[in-house]
Amino acid sequence: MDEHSAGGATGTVDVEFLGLREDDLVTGAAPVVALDGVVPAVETGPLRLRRSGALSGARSGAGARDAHAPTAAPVLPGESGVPDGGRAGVLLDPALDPALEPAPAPTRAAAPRSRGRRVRGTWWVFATGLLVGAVASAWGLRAGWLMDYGDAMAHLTIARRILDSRSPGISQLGTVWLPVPHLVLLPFVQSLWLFHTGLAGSIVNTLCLASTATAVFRIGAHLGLGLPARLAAVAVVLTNVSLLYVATTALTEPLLLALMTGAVAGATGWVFSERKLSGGELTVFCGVPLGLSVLTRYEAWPLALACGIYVAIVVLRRGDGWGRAVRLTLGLATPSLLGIAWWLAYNQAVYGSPLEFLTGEYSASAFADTYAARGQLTTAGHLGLSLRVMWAALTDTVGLVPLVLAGAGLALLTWRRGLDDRALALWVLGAPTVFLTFSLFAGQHVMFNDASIPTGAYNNRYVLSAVPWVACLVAYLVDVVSMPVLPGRLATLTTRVLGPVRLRGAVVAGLVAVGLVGQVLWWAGDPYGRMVVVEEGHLQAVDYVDRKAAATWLGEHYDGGDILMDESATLVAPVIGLPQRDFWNRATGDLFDEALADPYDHARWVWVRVDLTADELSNSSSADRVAAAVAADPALLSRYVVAYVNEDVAIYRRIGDPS
Amino acid sequence: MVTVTAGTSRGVRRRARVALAAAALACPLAVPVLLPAAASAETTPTSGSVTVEGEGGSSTSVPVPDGVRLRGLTATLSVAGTAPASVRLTVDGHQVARVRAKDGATVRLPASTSDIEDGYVTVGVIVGDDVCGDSDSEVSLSDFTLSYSGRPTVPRTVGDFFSDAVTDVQVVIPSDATDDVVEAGLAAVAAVADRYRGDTDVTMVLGGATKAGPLVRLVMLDSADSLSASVRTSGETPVLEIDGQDQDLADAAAALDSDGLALGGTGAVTALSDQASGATTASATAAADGEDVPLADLGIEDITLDGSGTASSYDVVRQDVFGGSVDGLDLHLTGVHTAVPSDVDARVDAYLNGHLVGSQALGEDTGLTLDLHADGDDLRGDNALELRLVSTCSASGLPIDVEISGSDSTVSATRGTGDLGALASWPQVAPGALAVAVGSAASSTPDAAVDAATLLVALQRASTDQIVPELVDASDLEDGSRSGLLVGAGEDDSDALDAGLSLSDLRVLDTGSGSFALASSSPFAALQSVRVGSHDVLVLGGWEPDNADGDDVALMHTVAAWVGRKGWSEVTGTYVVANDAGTVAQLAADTATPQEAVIDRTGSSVWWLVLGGAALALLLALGWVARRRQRVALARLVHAQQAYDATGPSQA
Repeated sequence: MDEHSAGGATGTVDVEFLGLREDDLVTGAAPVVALDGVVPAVETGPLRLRRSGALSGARSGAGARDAHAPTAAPVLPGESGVPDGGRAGVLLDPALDPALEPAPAPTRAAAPRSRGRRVRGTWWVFATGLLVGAVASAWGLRAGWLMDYGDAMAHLTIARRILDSRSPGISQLGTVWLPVPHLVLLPFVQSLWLFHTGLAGSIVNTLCLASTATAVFRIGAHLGLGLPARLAAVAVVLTNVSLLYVATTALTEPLLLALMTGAVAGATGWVFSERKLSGGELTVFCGVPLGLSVLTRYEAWPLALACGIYVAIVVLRRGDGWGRAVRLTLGLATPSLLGIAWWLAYNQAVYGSPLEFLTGEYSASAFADTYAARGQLTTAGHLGLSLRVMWAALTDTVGLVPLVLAGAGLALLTWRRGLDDRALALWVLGAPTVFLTFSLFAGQHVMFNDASIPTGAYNNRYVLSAVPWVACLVAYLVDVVSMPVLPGRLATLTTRVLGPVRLRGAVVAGLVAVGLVGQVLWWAGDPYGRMVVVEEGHLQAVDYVDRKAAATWLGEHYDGGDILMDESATLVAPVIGLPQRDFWNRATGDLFDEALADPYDHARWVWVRVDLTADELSNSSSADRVAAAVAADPALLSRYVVAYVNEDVAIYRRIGDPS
Repeated sequence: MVTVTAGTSRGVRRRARVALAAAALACPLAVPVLLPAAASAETTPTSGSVTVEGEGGSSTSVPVPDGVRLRGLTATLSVAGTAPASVRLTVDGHQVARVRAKDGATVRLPASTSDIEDGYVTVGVIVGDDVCGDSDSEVSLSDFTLSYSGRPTVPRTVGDFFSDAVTDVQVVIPSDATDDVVEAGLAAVAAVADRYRGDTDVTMVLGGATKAGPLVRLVMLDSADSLSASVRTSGETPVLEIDGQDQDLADAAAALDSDGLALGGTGAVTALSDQASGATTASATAAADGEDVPLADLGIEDITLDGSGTASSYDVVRQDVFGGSVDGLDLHLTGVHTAVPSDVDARVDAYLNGHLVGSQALGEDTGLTLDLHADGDDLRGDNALELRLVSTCSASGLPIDVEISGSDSTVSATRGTGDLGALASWPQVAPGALAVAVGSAASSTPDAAVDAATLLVALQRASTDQIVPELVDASDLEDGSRSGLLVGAGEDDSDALDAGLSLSDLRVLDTGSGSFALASSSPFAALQSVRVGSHDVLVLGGWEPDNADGDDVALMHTVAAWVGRKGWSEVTGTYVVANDAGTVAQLAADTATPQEAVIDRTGSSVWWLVLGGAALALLLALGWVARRRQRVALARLVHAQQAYDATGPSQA
């Protein structure tokens, strides 16, 4: 409550700050009139009223005519239409011209918190992410889990084969799996040691982890969130143990997260910039990472669509018209469209069908079909089960504490901001998660966990794409709870619970940190039972024990002469740790068929999976074709002797050498 | 004597010779008249088996019916591994035969009544003559059959009704038995199964007995106004008739396992109960989490290993001793051993369920301490503890003796959910009192009770304490208020329980390693365990297409009989399923195609999405209203500001 006097008349008015902060009052920065809430604490200078064009309601189209130029005069009870002891909205800018003008059309969005593209603290966050990722990678290397996932080994091998193969070239990228992760790995896997240990993937994904943390930090800055809130978002990312685990491997989810958050950071930076940025800048800072993300994982495709729609809405809300909206959206989408066009052309050129990645024998739909044939594609057409499976995956992978906090953040966001530009930016981050749920329901992919029917542990790491969304929602919650603009009694209550305004952000962020630590400790109590991503890695590691033992043996005993091996059915090339040009494998195409027909003249060593059933041998995509060939014609190895055998693999060595 | 004198006529002498010859010829014929008639031999199977691994000897006690003259035994010899040339058979510690070690051979062991001690005859096998020889053979004697003459003593009292040599016990209830008679029948089955934990066949039958003989026992239960129990014979089959009603009848049936039965005299017994049997005692006396329980309390007295070469002992540690499933077991074994000659290497190895969990070399110190731990996949409901003494031979030929103290050695457990498959977590998830209910697919309560009895026998023999069944409504189990056994379940029951395997049309995937097939339109029966809240329900149920008639009930009998034959320790899968061909298989959860009925139950989760969407929509609307109000208030303020500015500060 402040007292003001003018001309002897006195009265009291409960002063409300609408979406402002104390530091704004001091610095005289143009405030954002957010109409969000109030706090009655003003101690600096006289009160002035101002209307600016920055009403958030104005951007929504309502109340536009309320936007007027600043004026400066105190409000007196009775004259303002506000009764004594009532509430008045107060906007402060002591430096502004008090002249009164009719309101122009709603103009620029509210001023951002950042100065240009520079966001203070970015490099510190990046460095912290690097440190956390490096520690996790060192731990993973020591614990031996870098190669637990078969897919991780496969990504390393694909990247290596682009240059190191009997038939090197871009066709080694294969189909179904998108190319960017392998191209990013390419320089690192040239080191046989980095390839063999799996650290090539750790390096790439540690950089991606740091980039993701940095990007959510910047997104928070662009949305006007305070430092404690932004740090809370970073903490959500860097304490996600499943993400840390995946980031130590060569899996592709961390790269997706880095690119998608980078794209959204670019979009929010453009939308909430102080100055009007060009479409080219939007294309560069949002469109390019988006284009790279659509060639990283398919979950980015709906993200690209969501970003395009978001930008169009923002532009239309500004009143720039449909023409500009279409131009900017197209500019944003061009890298993505070019990337997709390239991918279609590549599939056509290499496999004879532009949709080979969608319909071919290695496609996700082909995998889904095998489960459908067994009656195990149970989420298809069952929304309830799809939701249950997604929820189980999210609680295991993202964590219940972050999810609950994010839920509260989403509720607050919806209530306070509705569907304004800031709210929509956060909804864009949720596009991959919504797409995943739909994809489960549509039967496009398979996910097994404790809630699925049947149960299992498979493909749950896909929901890691929800981590940035959750992180930003948690940041929003922290920001709202710690901001000074709370009404009446709530302000008093929060002051009592959370302390004075100056410390509130730190206190709230600290409480979130305690919750996150508790979440991490809960996960650590039973990693295989409480983190399905880790459980899946462990199960695969157990499944691969014999194959890896054989691979290690071969790597230690190889004395040249080439190896005939259907590596695509075994995936352990990194464990063997030999140059790929020494292999006659399925990726060499016709060369493989040639070697398979006449092993003796091609390879001193032959790797054969043993103990396969007839059903496994007949499965063309996943079966070991060397084993199938030997089963059909045992004489193929008549001039070989078994050099090593275990329950899964037999390694044959040629007797003598061809003349 | 006939005297022939001189001068007697030649005819007299001839008549005397004829008389002598006739007398001599008649003597053998007189023997059957003069001597008691020799009894013809009867045979009866009996329980017991003995196994020797490697070289050495072992013996077992075989029960012999009271009142008979033992003529001998036959048994089946099983030989595995590197077979010795011959084995020696002993009775009462004396070698009675040396036979060729041929797998599957039937061997005969001469024995007599003098070899019987306290109703048992001790039969043994000795393999090899060189006790320090190295052998991987395994020789077993099993399928004993007694050969005897005379008649087994017919029991005349309740106290001596259940002798050790009984081969079969049938609990007979009327086909239209009331619920209290059914409950009493189940209690009788459990009590008798607790008494006879070996090979004695214990079953429940409806209407009339299906077996007879002096080594068969019939327990017939029926309703009556007052409780009475009496013993009679039907032909040569002893019958114990117990009549009564309500709880008195059930208590009397449960008391059949009690040692107090010996107090019963020849007259009718009008009061019979053993309130202390089973019931809640299991949970009341169950070991606390982490509490050290002496092995002696588990019935494992001192464990002795002796000899040279290899000697083994086998004991069982059951999970239900601890009142429920356990996540880990810790055993502390302590004992002593004889001095080990300097030229001998010896050690004691400990195995739990076949996994090596500990080992200690025997040295100069005669004390022996083994601390063993097992958890997770190494645990079973019944945990087989094997101790093996392995030693080289000394020049002096002195054997080594090891004795583990049953009172000083302890076992403790860490309680938990256990890491067992759903079925293998029984019976420890529901120790003591067991609620039994009949489901919607049963043809009648007594008929379903027969299956319940079969399962009860298997569960009882896997339990440490006596199980006391209580007949309840199916709803008591389906609402999750207690654990129990549900037999005769149908689709409605499986839906109410939210069972993993719905009792509706089911298709089984071809696992590629077996021939069990089940098409979606074929009837089937299944045994599964369902967790309902904090309780577990063991469900035996079935399904048949609409045009079938009773196939599911018949298949339920098939499943129950299979479990009864195999024993509960063999039940390790997630489901035990019988198909319409009568084939029974244990299935893992993922070999059954997910059923629409099970998937449809998840449909309610959509309401959470609807609720969440509605909540967000409501917040959206409320927020819009609140912001609009603020804008209006702000506009009024600003207009007032403008008005003030227009009139200037003169009004200040």
